[in-house]
Amino acid sequence: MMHSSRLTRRSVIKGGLGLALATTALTTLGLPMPARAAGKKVIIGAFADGGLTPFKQKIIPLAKEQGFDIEFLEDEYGVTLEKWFADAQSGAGQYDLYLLDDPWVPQFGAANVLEDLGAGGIDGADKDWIGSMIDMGYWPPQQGPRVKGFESAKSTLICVPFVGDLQTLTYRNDVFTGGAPKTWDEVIAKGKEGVAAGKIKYPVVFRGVSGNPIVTSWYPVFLSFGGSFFDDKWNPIFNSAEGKASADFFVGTMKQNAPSGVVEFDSDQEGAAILGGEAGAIIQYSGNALKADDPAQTKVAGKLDFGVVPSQAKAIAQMGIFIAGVPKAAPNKANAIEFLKWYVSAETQAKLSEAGSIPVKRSAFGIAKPGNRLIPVALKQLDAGALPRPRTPDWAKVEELLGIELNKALQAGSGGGAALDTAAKQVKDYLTTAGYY
Amino acid sequence: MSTRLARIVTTLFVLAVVLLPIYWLVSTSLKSNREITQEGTLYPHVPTLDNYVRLFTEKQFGSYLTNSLVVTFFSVAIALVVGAMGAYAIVRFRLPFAMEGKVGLFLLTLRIIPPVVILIPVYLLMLSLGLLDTWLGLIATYTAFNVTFCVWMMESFFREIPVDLEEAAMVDGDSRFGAFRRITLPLAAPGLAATAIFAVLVTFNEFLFALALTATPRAMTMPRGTATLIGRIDTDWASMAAAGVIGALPIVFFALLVQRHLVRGLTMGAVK
Repeated sequence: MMHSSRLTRRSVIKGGLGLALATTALTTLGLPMPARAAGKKVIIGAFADGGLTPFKQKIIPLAKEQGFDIEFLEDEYGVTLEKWFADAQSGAGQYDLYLLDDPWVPQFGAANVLEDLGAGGIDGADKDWIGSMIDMGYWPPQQGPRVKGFESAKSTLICVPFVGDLQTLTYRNDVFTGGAPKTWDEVIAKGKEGVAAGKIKYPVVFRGVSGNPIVTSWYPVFLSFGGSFFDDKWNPIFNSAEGKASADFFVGTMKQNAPSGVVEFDSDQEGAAILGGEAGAIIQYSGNALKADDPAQTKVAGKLDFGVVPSQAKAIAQMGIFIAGVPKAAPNKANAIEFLKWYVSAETQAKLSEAGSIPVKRSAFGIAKPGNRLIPVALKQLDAGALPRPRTPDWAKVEELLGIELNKALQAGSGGGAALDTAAKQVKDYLTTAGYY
Repeated sequence: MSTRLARIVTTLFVLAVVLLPIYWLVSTSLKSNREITQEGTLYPHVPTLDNYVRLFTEKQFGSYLTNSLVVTFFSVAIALVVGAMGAYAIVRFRLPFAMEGKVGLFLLTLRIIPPVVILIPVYLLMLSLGLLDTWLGLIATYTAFNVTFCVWMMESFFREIPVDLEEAAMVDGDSRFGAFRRITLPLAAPGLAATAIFAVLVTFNEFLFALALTATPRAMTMPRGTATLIGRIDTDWASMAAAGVIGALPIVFFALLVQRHLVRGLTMGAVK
């Protein structure tokens, strides 16, 4: 009797179903399910960013050696603020530590959902802190204007700096042969020479997409022209003569010397332009800058150097540090604070620097062998000047209004000053409605 | 001849439109991020499987896939059972006068409410039940959605099955439920399969509720987990493409297995 070996639909269905169930069961059994561990459990929520790679690869294993059971949960940047804020406000208690973007601190601070880390034993007065970084952990701010309702409130340390991310210049050393360009005019002039010599296609590249990207790219230009954003009463003053000059330069001269699609550029496109060898200079955060020496990430490894951002009146970068806060509803609060104390110790910060990440303690910048060439340049930038974005819970809205107007002017290729006037009026109206005055 | 040529050209055009995105996805999944963003090549010049390896070794994609399979399987299975019985009841039993003929429409209305409208209530409900970031929370949510869809779909299939067959079975001594299980349900199998396919597709690809209700690889589903590859200033396009390829496989496999039922289900009752 012959047995048929024909593959029938029924056998395929049976086999497939069995395989799927078996795979599911095996995978489930084999999963490192995040059950509560016996060690010092700390659940860290972070958004995906290349700036955290050294922390993940080198510091988490060190923390495990110290007895911490770290669960590192990465999520998309675009959703983390809302997720964590909902988690903190509702007391869901899904995280022990949020790695926040620093402009979010005022929102969490105003909502009073984060632990007082000073009371937990973290010394905000330690002289080893980079001053401009630890300042960002306080709410209300220790210096500068305060929003209504917090004028006389005690300044409390609710977050501690985690990774010292900030903007620096990345430039082509075969175009800017005399070192980092000192001024924006030099960026354009020498960049044009590089284009003429066939070394690059564009002197500069930046992000032009409306909202946060374009404002982030314009901000160091604005600061370098001598602009200020608000006065001490929260009146917008970014449309001052200096601000308008910076915006006109940005949407005019810089656009003319950038790739044709720059109005639509976000990080991926600007990163591709500099790492692909097309652009001569860029202001960027460390996440992308850290790729400059990796041949797997760039076609021009060895030709990219770092410097302090160019100046017109001064050379000031925007800071955008990772900053850690412990929610009041954290399930392992004591562990989280203990972990932070260990993490910000001079010894661990030195390890972070060795791993190639920008530390938050000054002593860690001075180690013999920092893991990345960017680290000493970052210290130079910090000493030259680096400012956080204005410390208000409404910064996201302000940035959105300004970003829309700047993007329109960039599309037109002119009218940066007028765009700032329009945005200033909108910002003033919005803040008036929000009760700022 | 010219008609034949036109047919060939049209076929090639349609094939290109259909297959090009699939080719691009697979091709991108085999490139490095540098090749994707800086070189824009038509095919991978240095093909690599690193992106697939990275998904499972660094990105916890195995958890996401498992979660998707488990959540989809249970929510669709429960919805099919409940939905089939609900649809049967609507078709075979007299409903109170005010509800007659309106239940299907009511369920459809529930199904077409924009999910974002009920997102926050569902989030708060799951929070209060302690079901955030759990399989159970997702299964309960998806089941609720799928049940309405299953009832609405199955209702039309059951209407096509003559009541005489069940009555004959009951005359022969079978119970109402027995007749439903042994006579009606097997006859409605193609419709059940078609319903299952659509429910699986919708559930496996669902993003919004997964976004709100999950936070960790414990429960994050595949589409939700894939979104975690989008960074603040850099996106891992290569891994995202690899995730797209892997994520599509279970659906393709499932559709291939049940396509015969799908065609029968879709045409069931079309010709009398």
